[in-house]
Amino acid sequence: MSSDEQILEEFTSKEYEHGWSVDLEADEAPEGLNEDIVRFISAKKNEPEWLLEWRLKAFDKWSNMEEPEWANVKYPKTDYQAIKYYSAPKQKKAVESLDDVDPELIETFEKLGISLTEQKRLTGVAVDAVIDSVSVATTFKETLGELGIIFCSFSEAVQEHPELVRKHLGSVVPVSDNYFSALNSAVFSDGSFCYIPKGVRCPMELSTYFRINAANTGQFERTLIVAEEGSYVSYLEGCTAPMRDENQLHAAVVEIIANTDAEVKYSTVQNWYPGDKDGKGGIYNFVTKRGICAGDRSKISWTQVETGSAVTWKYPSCILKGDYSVGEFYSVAVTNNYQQADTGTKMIHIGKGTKSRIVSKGISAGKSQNSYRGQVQVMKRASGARNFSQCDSLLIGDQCGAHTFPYIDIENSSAQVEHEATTSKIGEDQIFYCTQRGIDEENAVALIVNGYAKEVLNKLPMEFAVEAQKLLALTLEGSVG
Amino acid sequence: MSTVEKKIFGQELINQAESYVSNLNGSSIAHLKAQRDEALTQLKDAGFPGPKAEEYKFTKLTKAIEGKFDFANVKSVTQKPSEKMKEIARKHEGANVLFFVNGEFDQEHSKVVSPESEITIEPLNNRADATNLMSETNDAFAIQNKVFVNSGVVIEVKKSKVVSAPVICYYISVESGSNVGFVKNIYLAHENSQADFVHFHYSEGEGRTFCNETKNYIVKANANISLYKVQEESSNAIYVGNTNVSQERDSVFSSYVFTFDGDIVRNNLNISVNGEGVESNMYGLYLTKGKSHVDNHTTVDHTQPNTNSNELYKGIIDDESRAVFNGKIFVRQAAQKTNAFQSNGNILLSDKAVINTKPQLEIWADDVKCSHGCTTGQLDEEAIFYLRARGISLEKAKSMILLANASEVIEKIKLGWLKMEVTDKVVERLEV
Repeated sequence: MSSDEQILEEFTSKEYEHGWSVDLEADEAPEGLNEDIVRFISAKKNEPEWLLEWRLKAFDKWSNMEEPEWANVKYPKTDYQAIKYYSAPKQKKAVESLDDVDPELIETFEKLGISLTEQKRLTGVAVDAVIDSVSVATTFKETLGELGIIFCSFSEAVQEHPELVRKHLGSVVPVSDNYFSALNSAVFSDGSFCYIPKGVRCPMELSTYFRINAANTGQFERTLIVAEEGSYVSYLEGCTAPMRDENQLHAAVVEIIANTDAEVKYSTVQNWYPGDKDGKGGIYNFVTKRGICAGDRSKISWTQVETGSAVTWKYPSCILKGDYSVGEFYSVAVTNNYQQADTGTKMIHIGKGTKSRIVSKGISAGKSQNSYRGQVQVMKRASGARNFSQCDSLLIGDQCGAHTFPYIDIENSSAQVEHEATTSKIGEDQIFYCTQRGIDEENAVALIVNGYAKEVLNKLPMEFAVEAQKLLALTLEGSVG
Repeated sequence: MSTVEKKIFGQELINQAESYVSNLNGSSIAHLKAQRDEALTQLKDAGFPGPKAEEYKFTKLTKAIEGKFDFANVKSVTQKPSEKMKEIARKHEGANVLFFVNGEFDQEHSKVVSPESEITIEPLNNRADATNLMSETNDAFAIQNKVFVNSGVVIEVKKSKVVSAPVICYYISVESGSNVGFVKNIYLAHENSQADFVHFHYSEGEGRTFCNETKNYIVKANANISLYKVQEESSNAIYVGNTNVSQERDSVFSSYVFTFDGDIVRNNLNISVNGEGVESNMYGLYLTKGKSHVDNHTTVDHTQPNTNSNELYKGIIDDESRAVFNGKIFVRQAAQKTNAFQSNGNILLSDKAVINTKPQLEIWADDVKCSHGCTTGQLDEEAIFYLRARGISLEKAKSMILLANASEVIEKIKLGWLKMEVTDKVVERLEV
């Protein structure tokens, strides 16, 4: 065995470090999906009639849809009748403060490295934690409340701010947008809701932590962010799941609405369980994320670091409707072993003078397949639209694949659209340069990859950048190409 | 979950193909018949591309031809533009000139000047051996071609020969017979050979015509083959062409495609790199106007190590026309040390013009250099200002810049007389 192979071997046998599960007592729905389950979930949440109807309509749409197959990923199909669509950690009563939260839960978050109590005091990040798709604790509510910012679990929002939820729910990602969004709309159990009133600059990062804990469940959460005129918010999302042999489904929907002059920054560090080194188990991460720059001069920026999931299939998109609005997409997607990722973005230019920027860095190792799929569409009236896309792929080892599928559709003559893509491996000369200076090969790779991904990592808020860098270094341990 | 049955599109076209085959009553040549029957079964199973088919997403060919032509009764051409053909043959002095009128090979007007020791040209019907020399794509229109084709030639370039006189093929679409043409030409270039093939596609008259063409190039070791294609069909002509290329060790294949007009033009270029040290070049220039629709799909499949491919396609899109570009590069795991470059540049001149481009890279090998770039924009304002500051009118300045842009592709042409001819056509198009 050559040294390369050895190192690859070592690298591929690395275990997933978030792979524990906690025996939280859970309140679950029986397996399977039918109208009764939808009613069950709605009743559990004590939802108003209109939301139940909305869910039933979504279920009806979903039943008549076919699972899409166009993505460049192969996986055994999910049996939608073998999933439990509702699983909530059991709590005796409503949580008033963190002290009332189940200590086992707190422990879970401590294992995740996001001790809620600590977060509350030290880091100044407001956290909404979602386990098995039910929001369990939200911190910093009062501080935010003083500014008029609403940051709470989705079910709470339905109870307390039904008019806001009703107005915006499904306005960016319509129920029938795609198969998974329809499924989510029918069965979503919780999620986060965030509302920034006019002219308010959110003083802290808002953060959601998602975790799938129970076996045989799917996680279907919904995030809705509304930024009113002239407001600003930076939102973080992190995810982990225990190690299990079977595949679990995560089909979330994220909707962002940015009104005139508003700016929303959405960052994700996705570290779902990727399956073991033989490609067994792992999360199917089929997420619909979309934001609309509804007002003039608004801005939505997506940053994602994708290291987990057996199959990732998501395209955080921006609809640039307001004139002079800006959409950004920064992504690092790392795949290893048998992981597959088909990810990218859509930038739909509708308004005049709209700008978008796409930077996508794919790194594939092991036997993984990493695809970038993106669309830049410039509509007829989007005069002066400008786009720059760059998607680079880095290959580590000769068993993996990197694919690029950019769609560029232009209908306006004043649009200026540039796209460039490169594929390469880590240069021997680069490694030589480092080793010559006393840096061992492994650290050299980490250094080079970090430099390669820097452009994206720089866009992450500080708290996440550290985690992301750690994740990257871990994933790339021993991966000398 | 409901399972929807697979829908077959283009049912009418399939029915017509079926009755066409039964009308033949087995009267066709044996080797073509076997292929025909197989293709018909394929067509019945898979159908034609529907409105959502990825490969024909922007070019709705099925809809454009279904019900518009009588494929069940494909009739021979009755009126050929004989005078025109004689004139063309005279024009290309010292060259081999072949004519295909609505796909039918016209031996009478064609002339061959190269000796048989260099090149042989035989009708497809006489060469049972040549039909299965390479695998073809399962493109629905390539299959349709197999069902209908009855005419074509097999051109063989002999081993170690350099054919000095170019082979010029004229494909003329005329409104005569059933207005449709199917033709399949096979080009077999033996070891160490070299030849240039020039294809002119044009329409005689403004009739509604359809042409479905297949070109198969088998390029053996060390051979150097160039393919030039100049397309100037009428605004009522629909054209779909499949060019399949199979390249062996150390061979060079260059394709140059210039598209000026046509109602719908679809060019599929598939290059399969089957040997080490192969070089593949693909150049294209499309200047569209009116309501024409030009679609170039190219595929290079690198299966062997140490191979190179270069691709440069440029487009100037005016009026209400639409251009589609899709370039695929596949680099298989064995194809280490491959260099593949692709570039697509587009200029939109009108707000009603549309460009859909998709440069696609799929890579399974790690020691490769691959890149693609794609730009869409308008004319460089600084360049226009520079020229206008020197007293050149706006219109003139624009056409100068456009011409400079197009000449990047024109410059690649290696045949002097053709370079001049194409330049003239481009100037005529861009001049004010």
